Amino acid sequence: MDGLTPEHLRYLWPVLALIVTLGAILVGALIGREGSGRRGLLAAALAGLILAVLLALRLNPHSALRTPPSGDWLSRYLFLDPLYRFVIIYLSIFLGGILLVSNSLWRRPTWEWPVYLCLLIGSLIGMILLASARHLIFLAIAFEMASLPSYVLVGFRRFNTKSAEGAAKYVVFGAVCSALMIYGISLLYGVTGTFDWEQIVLRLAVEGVPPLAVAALVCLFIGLAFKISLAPMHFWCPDAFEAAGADVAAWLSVGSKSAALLALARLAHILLPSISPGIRDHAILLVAVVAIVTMTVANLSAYWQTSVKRLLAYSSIAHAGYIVCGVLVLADTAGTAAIVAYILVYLLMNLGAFSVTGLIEAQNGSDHLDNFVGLGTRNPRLAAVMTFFLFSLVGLPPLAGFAVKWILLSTLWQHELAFVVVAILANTLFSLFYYMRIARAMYFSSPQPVPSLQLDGGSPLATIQVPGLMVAVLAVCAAGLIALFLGWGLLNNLSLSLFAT
Amino acid sequence: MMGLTPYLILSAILLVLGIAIVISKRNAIAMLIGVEFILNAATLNLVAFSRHGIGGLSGQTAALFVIVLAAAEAVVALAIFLNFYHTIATVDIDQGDQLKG
Amino acid sequence: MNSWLLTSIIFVPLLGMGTVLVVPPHLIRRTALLFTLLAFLLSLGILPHFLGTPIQVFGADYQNGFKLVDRLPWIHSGGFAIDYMVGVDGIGFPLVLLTTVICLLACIASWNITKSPRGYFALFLLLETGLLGVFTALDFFLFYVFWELTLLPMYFLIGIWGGPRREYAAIKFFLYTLLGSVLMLIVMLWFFFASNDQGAHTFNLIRLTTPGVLPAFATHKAMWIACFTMLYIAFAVKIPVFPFHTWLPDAHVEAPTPISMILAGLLLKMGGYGLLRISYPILPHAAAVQAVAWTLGILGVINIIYGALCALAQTDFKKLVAYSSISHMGFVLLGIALLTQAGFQGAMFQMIAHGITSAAMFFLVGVIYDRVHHRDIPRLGGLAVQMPIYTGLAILGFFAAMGLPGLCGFIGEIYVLLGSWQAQVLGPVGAKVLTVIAAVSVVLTAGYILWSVQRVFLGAAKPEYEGVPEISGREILVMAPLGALAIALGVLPWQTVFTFVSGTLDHILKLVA
Repeated sequence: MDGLTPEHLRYLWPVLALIVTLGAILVGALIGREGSGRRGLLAAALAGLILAVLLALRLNPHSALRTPPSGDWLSRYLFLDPLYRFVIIYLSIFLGGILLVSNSLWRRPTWEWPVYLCLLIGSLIGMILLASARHLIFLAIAFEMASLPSYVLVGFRRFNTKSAEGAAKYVVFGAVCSALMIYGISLLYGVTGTFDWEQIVLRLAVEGVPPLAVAALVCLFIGLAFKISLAPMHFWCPDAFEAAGADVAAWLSVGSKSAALLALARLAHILLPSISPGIRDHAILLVAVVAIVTMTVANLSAYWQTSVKRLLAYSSIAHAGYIVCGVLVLADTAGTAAIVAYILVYLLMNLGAFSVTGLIEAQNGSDHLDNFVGLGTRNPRLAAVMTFFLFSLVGLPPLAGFAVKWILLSTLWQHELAFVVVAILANTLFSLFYYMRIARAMYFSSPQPVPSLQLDGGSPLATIQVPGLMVAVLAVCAAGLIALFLGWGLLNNLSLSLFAT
Repeated sequence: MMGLTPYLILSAILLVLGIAIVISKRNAIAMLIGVEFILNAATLNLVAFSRHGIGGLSGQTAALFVIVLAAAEAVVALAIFLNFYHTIATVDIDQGDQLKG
Repeated sequence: MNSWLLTSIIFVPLLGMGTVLVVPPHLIRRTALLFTLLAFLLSLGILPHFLGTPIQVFGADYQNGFKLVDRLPWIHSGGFAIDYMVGVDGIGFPLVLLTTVICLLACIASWNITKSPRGYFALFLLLETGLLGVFTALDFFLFYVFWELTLLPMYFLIGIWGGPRREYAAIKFFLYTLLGSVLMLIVMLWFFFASNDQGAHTFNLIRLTTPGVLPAFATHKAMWIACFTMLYIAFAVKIPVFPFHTWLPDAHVEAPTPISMILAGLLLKMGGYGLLRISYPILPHAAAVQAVAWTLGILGVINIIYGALCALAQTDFKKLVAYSSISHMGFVLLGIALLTQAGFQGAMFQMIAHGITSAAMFFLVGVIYDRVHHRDIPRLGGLAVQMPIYTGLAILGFFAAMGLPGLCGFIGEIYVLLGSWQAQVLGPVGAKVLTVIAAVSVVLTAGYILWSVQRVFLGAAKPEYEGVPEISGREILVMAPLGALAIALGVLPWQTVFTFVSGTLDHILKLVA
């Protein structure tokens, strides 16, 4: 433990705070009376998240994307840069929003609540570490820390056949991909003799990239691509999201995807500029093709969905395809900055859209598109905010979804990736069709009671009650989308500042 | 002492076997076994490389971590499969046909 | 110095939207009317700034012709330099006035909307803000934002308050326009990163017209032809030019009457305005290429003839009016394409005249529809007996659209034809051929209008329309200003339009030549 000074330990404090919170919730659930204290546990979890955010805010990382090898203990495992701080704050706040939504949608026995909280916080810790991992074994551990709770969360609705099936598919898919990734890491270790990404890159840059290392890097990419849900590793995503509750789907769609995206961006950004141009060009082509195939396949598949969660899952795959294009920009950090800006806004849109879907599902027992019919008259405000989220997902002004797409496109254009720009824009056109299906259901179709859909006794025609906390979350998301459009300069400044040298 | 090559060949065989199992089998338990094959191939790699002077001891330490990861994953996967079995009474992944599209 | 006049005109409707969303139900209509009226009154405040001889008002060149410029820094971050910048010149200002007038009248025409009026008027006012923004924005990014801002309200206004096939019409409208927007976005990226305004990139639509600001574009022909084509498609969808016109009959027929008025009267003008504001000044070399002039000219003529022929074949009254819009907007394209002074002036005049006459015609059709609940021309007839006042007003509106001398439709068409006859850009004969073909449409237009007037209003009174109520006071309130404008523009074209627009149009023509 040489070189572990309080100065460096400070960087771990936010994560330690989360671990303590997790432990406290477990203990609290054990000593508390059976079936009580849901509010108290929620408050404890929120307090832990807020504490983590505050501790992260106190950090003062001064370096850019690449930490100079400082030799201390902690930075051998993690990149302790502004992006690390950003990820902690971003994901913790997001999880706070998810918890508020979950609390409103909770229909399960109370004793499951602390388990649920612990799984969410556990995956949060995994995601934070995944996004900042520098040591590859550490990366693999973080990957599993993020994944294992996610598998359970997807299968959390026990005795629900869909949930069980989705979780089983998800875990099989995930286990294969993570095993391949670990195999790739072992090969990289064999080629370079180290797990430290900086040193691996150094070796590969000096001694060239042997075919074995290429295979290893592809395996590593497969693992991350699984988390990001890039084609053809995206099949789990619609199944898992349809199986999971809407809140869990929202958490996975933004949390695990953005963590893996940032990890990929960071690793690629260190690796690709250093290695030989031949391999670099192939790598860029590979990512570009994967990205374009991903968004196209997702947008074309989404149209046929009748489950709104599934539709939003395809939408999130398509967005992953857009965002990953930021990795293609190697000349400077603008591409990674564009990714950061995008995931910030993506959080608001997806949290909002999934929350509304969750409300509809809670009301009707199904997230079938037919349950959205007539929402425009049943609850005009809810329909209006849902419209905001949908049009922001399409990327239309005056909503922030447009601003971040614009930032991404202009970065790509500047770096002479015009064909990617054209692909993204063409996909924007495709995507219009299926987002419109929801808008059409809400506004254009006239409400007709469908008896088969009234599973939980709720009538599709009834006014939908929106709990107070949920109103707050939705209002923040919708207002944020407008505010971040009007002030997208601030957003751009923020994301660029993470990488300023 | 044997050279590095036999270990690597064995690990490659394990990997190929693992991938073949995962691709061909539809039984969730069998697929999990395939995954374990791949993970063990990785573990074997790590130990073999480390033993032959590449990267010092860190490879062997890493192998321990990989074993732990594999165990943890197996626990979660088995629990989920059990739940799947409880609800649908099969462990054949293809029998799950509620989620489509 | 910012005068804030334009800014207040643009955002008054938006403020109105916010107010409409909170007032009690019985005040919604009055609130919307109040804010559209306010926007109209404010827009009259622009008028004094454009009184005087063209050279006094518009300066010596295009870049100096802008009045009432409001400029605030908006996004200055990471190399972007986007301003909130609005201003008007000779082509922007008449369209702003047209927008406030038509929106005011459409708001009165919306009085009988009963299906969730709160949402209707909120979207209506949002649409007005978008339109006003498009006609005043001087920053390409801002222009794009306002351009897209018109899309969403229109989609919902057609989709929720429209006729039986409203869903289909709304999505078709949305898709066509978004296709155009996406192409415009590419051009926007291209312009911005190719521009060099004293070392910085710029979105400023005035700076972009300055020679040397787009250095790469001066030498690479393929580049400006590509940009011109993409921009052209974006604008052609709105005008709409054959073969991008198929959304229009659907959208117009399905939209509720006031929205059809806005769609035909204002939204189509965004296309023509875009050509005059962006394509021609920024890419003058492309506009001067003979092949471009040929293509645009021929498409314009196709529009004119095709629209008129389709109109002749219609039995749905509203569809007939919709196709007549396609025909009339063809004159705008023809006038712009052939690069003559008279053609430009005629095109601009035609845009305004068509804004008035198409709004009037759609309103007139709506009046009948409200009473007899169908628009089938063969089933109508003899309405002159039951509704004499209405018939008088309707004949005024239809004759104005037909291009009867003394009414506004005539001036625009005759100027376009005069201009294209003199045009040099297509060689000695080409332009004359196009002119002759376009002139044939005058006969076709007279044909379909006179024929439909005869079938709808003349003839023996039909018993089933016995007791159809005469046009109401509110409806006269909408129709009278439109009729008065049609006469005023037709009798005093110079004083009402040309004096304001000619200076700017001459400057644009000078940029192209």
